[in-house]
Amino acid sequence: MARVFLKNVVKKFGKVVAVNHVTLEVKDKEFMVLLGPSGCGKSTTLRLIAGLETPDEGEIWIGDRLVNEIDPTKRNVAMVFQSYALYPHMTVYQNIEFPLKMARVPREERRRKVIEVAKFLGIEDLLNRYPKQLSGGQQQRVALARAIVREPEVFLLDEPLSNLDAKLRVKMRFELRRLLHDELQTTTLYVTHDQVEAMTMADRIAVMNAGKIMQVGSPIDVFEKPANIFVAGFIGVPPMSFFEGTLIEKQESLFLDLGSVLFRIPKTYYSTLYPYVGSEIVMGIRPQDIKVTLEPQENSYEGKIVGYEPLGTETYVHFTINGTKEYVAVIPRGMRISLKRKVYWTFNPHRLYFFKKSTGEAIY
Amino acid sequence: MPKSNLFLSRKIKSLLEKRKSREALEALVLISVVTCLNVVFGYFAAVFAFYLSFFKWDYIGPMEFVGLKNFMVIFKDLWRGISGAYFFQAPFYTGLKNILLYTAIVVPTQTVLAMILAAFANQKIKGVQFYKVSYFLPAVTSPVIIALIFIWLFMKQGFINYMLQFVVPGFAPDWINDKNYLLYAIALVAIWGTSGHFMVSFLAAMQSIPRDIYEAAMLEGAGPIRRFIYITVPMLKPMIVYVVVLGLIGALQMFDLAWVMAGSNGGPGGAGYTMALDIYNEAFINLRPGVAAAKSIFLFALIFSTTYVFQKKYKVMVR
Amino acid sequence: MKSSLKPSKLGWITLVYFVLSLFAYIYLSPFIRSFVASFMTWEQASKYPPEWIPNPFTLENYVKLFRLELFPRWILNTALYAGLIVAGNIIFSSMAGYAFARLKFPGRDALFSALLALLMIPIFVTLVPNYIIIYRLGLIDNIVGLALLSLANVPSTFLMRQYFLSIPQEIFDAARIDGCGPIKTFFYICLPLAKPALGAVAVYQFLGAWNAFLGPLVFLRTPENFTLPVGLSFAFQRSMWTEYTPIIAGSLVAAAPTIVLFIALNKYLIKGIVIQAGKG
Repeated sequence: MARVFLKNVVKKFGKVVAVNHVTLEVKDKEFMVLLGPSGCGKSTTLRLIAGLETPDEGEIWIGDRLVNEIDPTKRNVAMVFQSYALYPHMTVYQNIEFPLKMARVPREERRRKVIEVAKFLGIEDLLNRYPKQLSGGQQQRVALARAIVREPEVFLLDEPLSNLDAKLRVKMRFELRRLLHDELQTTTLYVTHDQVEAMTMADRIAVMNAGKIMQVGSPIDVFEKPANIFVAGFIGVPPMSFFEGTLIEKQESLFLDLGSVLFRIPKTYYSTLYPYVGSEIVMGIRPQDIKVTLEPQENSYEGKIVGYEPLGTETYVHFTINGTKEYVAVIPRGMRISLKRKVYWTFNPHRLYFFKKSTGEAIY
Repeated sequence: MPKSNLFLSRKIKSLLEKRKSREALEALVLISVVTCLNVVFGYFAAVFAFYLSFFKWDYIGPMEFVGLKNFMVIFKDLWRGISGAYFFQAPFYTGLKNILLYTAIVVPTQTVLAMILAAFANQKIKGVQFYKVSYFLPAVTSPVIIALIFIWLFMKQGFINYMLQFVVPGFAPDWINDKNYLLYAIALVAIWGTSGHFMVSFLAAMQSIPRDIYEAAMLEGAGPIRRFIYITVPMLKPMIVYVVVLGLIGALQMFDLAWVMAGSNGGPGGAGYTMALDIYNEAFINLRPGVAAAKSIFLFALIFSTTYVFQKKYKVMVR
Repeated sequence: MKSSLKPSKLGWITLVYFVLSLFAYIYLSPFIRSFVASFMTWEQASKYPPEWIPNPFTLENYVKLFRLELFPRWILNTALYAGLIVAGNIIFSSMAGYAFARLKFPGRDALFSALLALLMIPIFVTLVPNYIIIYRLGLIDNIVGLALLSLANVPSTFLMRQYFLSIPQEIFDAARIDGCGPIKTFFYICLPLAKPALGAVAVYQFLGAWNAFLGPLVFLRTPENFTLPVGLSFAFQRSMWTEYTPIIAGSLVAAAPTIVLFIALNKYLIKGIVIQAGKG
């Protein structure tokens, strides 16, 4: 049983609180992704689990051991670093063999295991080369081999794909998940800032910001039911568009007053939103759920195009409503638009999100 | 105006206008002093030394060509020394023997010591700069000054013997005057004086090892000592070669310490006599510059071959 | 790194401090002993077991030093020599360093390699011939003659060249477009920009010159012209004072400038060796 449990962990660097009362449980054999922007504390959290940093407060459990006091040399976790950290003065074979040597595994068995793992990852031809003679993708596989050969309880990966070119990255996303989760079935913690990686690879995602966990859930959960503005705006490409305003009631209907425009809120949300009449709230819509047309539709609002990004399969359109903030919508290919064109847009009434402006919390 | 002058000045003018040649010309001006001084006092002197080694001279009269006679003087000296002659009959041999022993003591010790000090000084603890400064302090002081101070410390009733009582009670030799201990005293002073400098070199090399390699090793079960053996030392190999080569070059030519601590005669029984001292004596006391030049070539060959062999063996070239 | 102090961690830190302090003692105690003894009488300084507090506290050693006419002269000579070497190296090595780094001329790289190769020749090989050359120039026993040998030496040139190589080519190109030929570029662009490297050269050359021995020993003949290291060893060997403590005091005076300089600049000096070692 190799679950990982962080209980109320705090880590400070001088005045900066990098990890702020984080509690997280990673189940046995689960592929958990720590997702967040740079500086959010995800790498620090990983290093705390590895033992490369010690927590100021809180408990860290691996399996059924409290590992706070246990030296990193003895925690039985394997880590793949962003830079791979291959030993430059050793061959690939010696690199992979090193952890076994440290564990005093006899030479014959070491040899057997190294070759087995090398074959498993398709690098058995590279065993006599030195790291500097290898490509980025090959180096990564050596780093993986070095981690795998130890048969650890937990895998820790710190942005392992960020040094690869885009195409290789897409391929490796799939491979890594298959390898670590499906084939080796080992508990894995994977740190990244790329939410596409998180969505495609994770069993569950822990979204972090400024040292705190914003939400933990499956990819669908964090996408469909974000717990706050941060998660809603972080997950999904292009990011969700947010409309800030006051919730007012007029003639038995609810409207969001943006100042220049009044949105009519669909009736389905009345029961959840009623308590917030009079306060500032934020409405969020994903660009894919905004429909843009060239002719007025029922319940549509006017807008003006101020920019667009053609991607081939679809186009992102930036528009303003009466000269207010810019918002983004996605339009299908084939639709003709041009700058400064007047357009009309509606939204999918079932796909709205509402958040309290003060705390950012979602209102369901 | 004569035609040739006009032609010449026109040529120079056109040269100055052409950018490439102007650049070359101005560059030559800029390097002139460095090149001249170093060519004269470096290459020309070396060639002259080589030339001089075939002559007999006393600085004043004419130079007399003697072929390989000066080298024969060296080899006769070595021969006598090997067959057990006393110091004054075979000074060059004594100098060679002493300097080889000295080098064998000093170079490995100062290298290992410097590496260990660097490993300790590499820890991120408070006040480590103070220690680095302390270790390096002897290296900014003149070897002569150091030697003068240590003569006093090495006296029979001196500070060093006093400190030794805490480690090996009863062991308090008369370092300076006892021919069995003088060379070791000089060696100790040398190690004390130079290890700080090499410590800094090793520190530099250690700090260029990326931190995550140590972290990876840590996670793979290597404690601090094993990390040092398997990661630090192998990755320091180029710097080790650099330190040893520099150490060899310095040790084989050691002069200042011997001059002060042993005197120009090399002290009791020639125990502190070095090859460098011998060359100096030959040139300025015996007034035999030809023989001195021959001996200096021998020294050069010795230094060159030892450093070359060492670099070849460890497959790292220093340059 | 680790913030919590587990027992094994504490033990390790204690060991580290112990070893570091032990060696600090080894490296510093000769200086401290000398400093203390320079204020003692020879009678007290040669006591066994050694004493650490001067009693009586006396300045007689320093007085004896300066009463000897030669000693202040030695200080002057050494300062003059060091000054010449520093000035010469700053000017000429920077010029050559710039030319080797950024200018194109035939034989540039070959010449530079040839200069570097000179570093392999031991000083003893060139000593006697140089002596003869200086002798023929009539500059024996003359600080200027001695300085001529190291006025523009190869390590300084190497350092300056490395430094100029690290300045982006664009700056030199911009100067050229603005109408500067190489020599103008040197004075208007290179020199002002090279202050850190010039500082390093100045410091290293000062240290080397102030502490030099073999050169001054051979090329300076009369005691009035000696530099401090030569003078002090001369005084020692001629037993100019019946006691040893003046020699100790003299050694400290000789070592003081370099020690003070080092302590003041230690961060930069150590960093400089770090950078040089990286290139070596």
